[in-house]
Order: sequence, then structure tokens, then C-alpha cells
Amino acid sequence: LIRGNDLAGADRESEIPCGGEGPSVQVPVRLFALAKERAGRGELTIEVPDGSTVGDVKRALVDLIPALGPLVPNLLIAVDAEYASDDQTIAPGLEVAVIPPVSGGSPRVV
Amino acid sequence: MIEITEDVIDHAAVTERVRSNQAGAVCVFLGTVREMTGPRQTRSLDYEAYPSMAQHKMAELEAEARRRWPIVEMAIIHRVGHLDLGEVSVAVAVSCPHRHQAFEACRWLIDTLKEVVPIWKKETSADGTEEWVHPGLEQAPPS
Repeated sequence: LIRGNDLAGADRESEIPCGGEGPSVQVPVRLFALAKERAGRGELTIEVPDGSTVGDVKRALVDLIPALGPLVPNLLIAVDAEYASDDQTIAPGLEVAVIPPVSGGSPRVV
Repeated sequence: MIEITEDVIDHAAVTERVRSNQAGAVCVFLGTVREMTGPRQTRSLDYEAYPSMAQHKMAELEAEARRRWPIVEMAIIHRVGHLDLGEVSVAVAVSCPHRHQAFEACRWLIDTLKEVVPIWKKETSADGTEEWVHPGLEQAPPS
């Protein structure tokens, strides 16, 4: 397993509700299509502070796999098989998935 | 009925499945692998799904369509894996009491499916190059 644990860095602390010193959670992430190709793998686990959001997970993913950086503005994140907004908190135990645009256009995340 | 399959889609069987004495109209949409997109020539498509979420999203589409239209029977089948030119990638079949309902429901289902259901296709061109089809995504290789 590959872990992105550099979110604990001081420069990120203001972005993370629980700070970098609190308990962390292991988030299983699945990747598909071009995101999978760029990452070179379809599944990985990242470690983020407890209480992190979808946006935090995106940043941790790019820190871990810089090749995903250019894709991020167009990527959606699904949590437990539902599209999620960047401010949604990641609950422990739920599967996170990286969703590149599907063929008919971009889903609307409300 | 909702299904994601690696097998060839038997569209005649899908049509039969939704026929009903309660319906005066059956509308079937088939998505098929097209050879030419403008000047670009396609050799084949490879479809990949996030199966559990795709199944879940398609079930939501069925529920929403049944709320909006008096659907008697319906089926959505999406194929994944390698498809050659002309093959059926997706079938949407709807039966309703009247034809305008069946047309509207079928069109809404395929249009919405292509927006929200996490299934992607990688296109192999006649010259052998491969590219994921991600509308709006810049695909220049990372520097």
C-alpha cells in the first residue's frame, strides 16, 4: 500500500479541520480510466487526518501522484458510490473513487 | 432490469423482455460503435465501468424514470470490455401505454445515463493510437 501522509505538514494545517497531530484515517481510493492510467494503478490507500474533506483527499492524491495534477480540475470524487462535493467530510470506512468525465458530459454535483 | 455485462447484448431479447399487454408502445435505443467521427477513424472501443456505482446510478435512473412516466417495463444493459465496429455498447428499452411517453422516457434515460453513470470508453483509432474519451479533459501527457 502507498500512503500519502505529507498532509501533516505545517503548511497544510490550516486546511485541515483536525490539524496534523490528531488521529488519521486510512482511505481506500479506486481510480478509473485516464486517472488509473496516469496513476499506474487502480487502487491505493491514502492516510489523511480524521475529519478531512473530499478536497483534502484530492490534494493528498496529487501530492502522492503528481501526474494526476493536471486532471484534478475535471475529476469528480465519489464517496460510497455517490458524487461528493469538495467540502464533504470523509467518513471512515467508506470507499472513495476518482471519476474522470464520462462520455456524455459532466455530472452536476449539488 | 439493470445489467452491466461483458457479453454481447441480445437486443431482440431485451425488446421482448419489455413487451407487455399493458403497453401500446415500446421504444428501444441502441448505442453502437461508430467508425467515423469527422475525419477520425475508429477501430474499436474498450469500455470500463465502476461496477457497483454504475449499477447504483442506473437503478436511481430507473426509479426516477418510473416516477416521471407510466413505465410498464424497462431495461438498461451496458456492455463493458472490448467492442468492435458496429457492436452494441448499450441498450435502453422502455414500454409505456402511449408512444410519446416511451420516446420521452427512453431519451431521458440514455441522455442521463451518459452524464452520470461512471462508465468510460477508450478509443483505438485506425492508426493504432489509443485515447480515453473524457469530454473537457486536457489529455496532453504530463511534462
